[in-house]
Amino acid sequence: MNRRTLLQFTVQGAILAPAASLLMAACSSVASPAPTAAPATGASPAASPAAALNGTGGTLVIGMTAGNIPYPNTPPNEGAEGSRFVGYNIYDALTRLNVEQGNTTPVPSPGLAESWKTASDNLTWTFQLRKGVKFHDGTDFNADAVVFQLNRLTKKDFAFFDPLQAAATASFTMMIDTYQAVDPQSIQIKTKSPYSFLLWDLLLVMIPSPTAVQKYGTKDYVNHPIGTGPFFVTKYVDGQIMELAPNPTYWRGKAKLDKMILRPMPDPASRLAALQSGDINWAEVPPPDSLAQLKTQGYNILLKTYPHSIVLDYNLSKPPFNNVKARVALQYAIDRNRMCNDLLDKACSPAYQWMYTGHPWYDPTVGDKYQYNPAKAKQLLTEAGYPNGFKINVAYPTGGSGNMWPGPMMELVQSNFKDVGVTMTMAPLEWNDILTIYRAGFATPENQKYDAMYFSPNTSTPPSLLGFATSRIQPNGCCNVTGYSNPKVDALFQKAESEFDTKKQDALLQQAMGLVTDDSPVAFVVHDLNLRVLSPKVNGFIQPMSWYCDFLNVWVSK
Amino acid sequence: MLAVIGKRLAMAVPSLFGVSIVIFLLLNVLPGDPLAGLLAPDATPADRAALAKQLGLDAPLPVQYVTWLTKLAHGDLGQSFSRQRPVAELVGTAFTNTLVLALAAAALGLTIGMTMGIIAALRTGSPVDQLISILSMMGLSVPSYWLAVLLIIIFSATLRWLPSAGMHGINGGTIDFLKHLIMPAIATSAVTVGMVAKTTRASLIETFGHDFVLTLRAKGLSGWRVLEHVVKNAAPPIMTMAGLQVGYLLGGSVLVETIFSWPGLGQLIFQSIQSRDLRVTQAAVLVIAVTFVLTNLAVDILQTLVNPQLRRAG
Amino acid sequence: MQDTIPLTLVPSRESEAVVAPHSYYDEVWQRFRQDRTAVVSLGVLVLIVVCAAAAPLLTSHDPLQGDIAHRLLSIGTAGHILGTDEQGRDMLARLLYGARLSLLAGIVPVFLATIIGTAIGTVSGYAGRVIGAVLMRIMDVCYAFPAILLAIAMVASLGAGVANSILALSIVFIPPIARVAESATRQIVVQEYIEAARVSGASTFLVIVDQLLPNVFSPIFVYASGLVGLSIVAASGLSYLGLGAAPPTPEWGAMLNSLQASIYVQPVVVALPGFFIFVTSVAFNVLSNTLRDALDVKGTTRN
Repeated sequence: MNRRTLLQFTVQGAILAPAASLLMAACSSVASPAPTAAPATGASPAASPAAALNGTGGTLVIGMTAGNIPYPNTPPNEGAEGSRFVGYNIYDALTRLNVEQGNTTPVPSPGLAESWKTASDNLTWTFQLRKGVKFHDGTDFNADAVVFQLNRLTKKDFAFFDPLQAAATASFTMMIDTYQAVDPQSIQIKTKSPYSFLLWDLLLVMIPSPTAVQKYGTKDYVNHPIGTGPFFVTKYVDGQIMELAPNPTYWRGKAKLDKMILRPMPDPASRLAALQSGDINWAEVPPPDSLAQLKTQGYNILLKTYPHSIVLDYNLSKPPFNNVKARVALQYAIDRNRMCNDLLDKACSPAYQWMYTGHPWYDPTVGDKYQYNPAKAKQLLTEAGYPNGFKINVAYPTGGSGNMWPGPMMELVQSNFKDVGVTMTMAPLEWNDILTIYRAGFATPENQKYDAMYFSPNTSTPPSLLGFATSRIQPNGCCNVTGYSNPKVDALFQKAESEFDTKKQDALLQQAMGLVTDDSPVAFVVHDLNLRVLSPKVNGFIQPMSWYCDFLNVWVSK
Repeated sequence: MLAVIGKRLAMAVPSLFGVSIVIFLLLNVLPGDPLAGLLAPDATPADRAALAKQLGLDAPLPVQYVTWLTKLAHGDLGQSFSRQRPVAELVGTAFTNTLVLALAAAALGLTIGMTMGIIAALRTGSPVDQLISILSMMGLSVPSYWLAVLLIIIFSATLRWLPSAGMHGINGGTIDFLKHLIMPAIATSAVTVGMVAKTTRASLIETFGHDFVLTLRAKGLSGWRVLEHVVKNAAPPIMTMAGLQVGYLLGGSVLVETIFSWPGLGQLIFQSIQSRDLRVTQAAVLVIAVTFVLTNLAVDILQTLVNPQLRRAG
Repeated sequence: MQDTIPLTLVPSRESEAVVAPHSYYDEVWQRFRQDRTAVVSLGVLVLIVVCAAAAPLLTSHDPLQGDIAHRLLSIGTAGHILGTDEQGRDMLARLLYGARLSLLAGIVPVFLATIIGTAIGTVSGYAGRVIGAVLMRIMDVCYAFPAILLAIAMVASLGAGVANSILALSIVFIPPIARVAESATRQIVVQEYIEAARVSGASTFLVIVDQLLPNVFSPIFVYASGLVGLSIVAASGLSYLGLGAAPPTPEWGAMLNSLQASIYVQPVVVALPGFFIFVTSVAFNVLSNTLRDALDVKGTTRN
């Protein structure tokens, strides 16, 4: 450090120090060392629930984590954030998640289908469609519209077959064998085998206006998206902005907002800056370091447990992770409390199982046994035949929807592993490359160079658990990336799939997840808490226990 | 003269052809899967193969190249997989945004740079000259991404005067647009300021030393009249440098555009590389390359026009 | 008119080569010493290099391992004079160790490109006509891209990593150096002593190595030295984009990236890594400038 350099420091310090000290004062609340073992129910939203019921109007401006405006197709792109902000605002599906409440994990509820029943063969479903629903272009929603969309997604010889949309929904339509309109208000769907998860799959089959698809064609449709949803698009500039206005004849009632604006803001610090300058009034996932400061400034910080976690998928096809003791050892090596309390300012909760504590599929008999215990980790590593640890290469995404803060979180895991003698190199990959590994599986030659991978599984639906099924090991199925195979787990999945009683189904899935916890094909890291920050002017929003949101009762005060 | 220009133009053609091959090859050896972002989370390898076939991505590379070039010749850049929009529209919009940023940065860079250069040249050896020398050296050395982060720290995070992202066109009003424009423009123009200031200073000083200036002074011409002649003689190298800088700015800055989420060519290229959207990446890089070649050509021709020696040598 | 920092990577076509007299380099040093800014810059660079090399002696902190409970401490904290980063690692230690990789990733590409570019340039200039034309047309293709963009596209193709970043930047810098070497060669080839050597029956290889290289060295050296600052900024830029050094390896660009989310908490700490990139880049550029004057190489055509 020479004099010139020091001088520069001083000059910079003079400019920045006042700001820094202010911010430091705001952020000086020391994180409590108590572990957040219990699922954080999170701050309750909507500062004044009474006022929330009374007002109406205003413009909601959302800063999304996406790098671009998701295109308004069925489904949109930009990952699940596309469905959250664009898809379900423009479209409905036959079933919908009851995300308008914040007390239970949402389940498939009546959407465009008012009711449904299954025949005694457990294969044939008849959906009674909602009457009087109209698309934004004024045309009627009916059974033909559903058939049209299923044709568009599954029939290669259909004039409006859309290969991209078909690829994006393939896993949601794959169990459908046949479908037909019984009459204008009902539709029959037959599955390939008894499949009780169909209602979950149908959530992501959004229904566009057949008239619009025909009129504009596959290529131009995204510029004229027409659905039955609570909002319609009034403006859409790729890379910059999307504006939505409420659908006055929405079947669940007209949304209270005058206008909703979506902005792509991939950088967390930018979302924070935009929120504080009033450019946006709804920020997704700002930097966790800013939370204390935002709280003192009166912003509503929304955190709530929901089925979405961060894990390390292990490559079970080769040493060291073909050894169950080595896998279990590392479960004890991760200091999850430190990660949640110190690194992420309580924006996550420690994960000891695939599901969070209290979820129907969380196995209480197995419990939270993987508490941080480096001594035990070392001992297990010795028992596994690795007294001096080992070296692993772990892929992780540099960004992407729903991945929280992969870099800093992985670096902490890396440091945890180092403490028990395991040397981990980090291989940064684009989110799309991570998805490619996920689809192809670790066992393929080109993915053998990775021992594990950071992943953010959506754990909200029963089909999402099937990534642990033997039948989903590539190339026969998708996507059991780890190559995990346990006949007992397979049998439980099989039973759950053909079990139409939700309670019994939950019990079976809980048992399966207990076995998975013992076998540890993945390292559980944390459960995401769906961090978002709202300006105090945003009222009426209920943070659901879901990735998705309901905007019907949201309004913005002047 | 025309022959020289013609020769330069002809030389650009094989360059552009080579450029097209480089672009095509470079991006087709990308290790990632162009279809990754388009498939359902749990699509099977069979689903993937089917989609690749539908989109013509299973053809051998030379075939794909010829197809691409043929379509390109017809002005058809194709459809973006990941954005479901015509590539031409995407690249066109991004180019316009980069153009706006480049022009703002050029205006800023050239004005400040020339002013600094002129002041320095008029006060050679003075403390002002030394300060300007240091400033221009700093300008052309500063990493644009660091300057961008500094600007955000000062003007967004601390003073909260300017937005650090979220440019959404002119429809937010002129003031709003300018607020979004100013920081990216400053961050990209620093190098231009430095280069132009140095060039201006050097060129003016050299001209001052020429005999004709002394002659003019001896003739008793006023300071301003002398200056007019000096400027006339010193202008060519400054113009050349300005031209090169504009060409460089028109290429868009991946770093600055990414930092400020400025929807220009740089950001488009970086995003489309990440999403493996080959058609968009290829088209956007091609547009930059063509702009770059044409700007360099213009600078070359300009040089030839103002410099008789080169005219002969060319 | 082209300056020492060829951001557009279009060096002048007609570099003037200099035929070196014997006492030439003594004179150069004398001239160099008179420029105080240059001497200071040299001092700064020597200091940075020495500190980077002696990092373990200057700090006892582990640059890779931190205490997460003490993250984002401000500058001047006892024990952490420059604060800590987002993982609670000592900033001074990371900046010192980071200098190694940042300097390496910036200097090596210029070094490699100089060797290869000189080889291509001298061969084209010496062989003339067909071979020269072909080689230089291939080089010209690379001029169609802004250098940084080309490097980014290349690293994205090859995969993130310091080795690939060095490779990409080396490739990007070869064409301009080749062009400088070629035009310098062309001007020397016509000199009498080369002709004399040829006539005396020396092999082409010997003529190039013995007669040509020493004489084209100065313009190439000056030009290449002007690239180092740019190269350091570019290499760190690649790391900043996530295309260079992988965590937890300290590297200035990567540090700026990972700290950026904390601009509201520790703005001064966030600004530190970039500041070092800046200082290094300025120092190299000043040196190169002075070197050009001292060597009396006119890197530009005076129109």
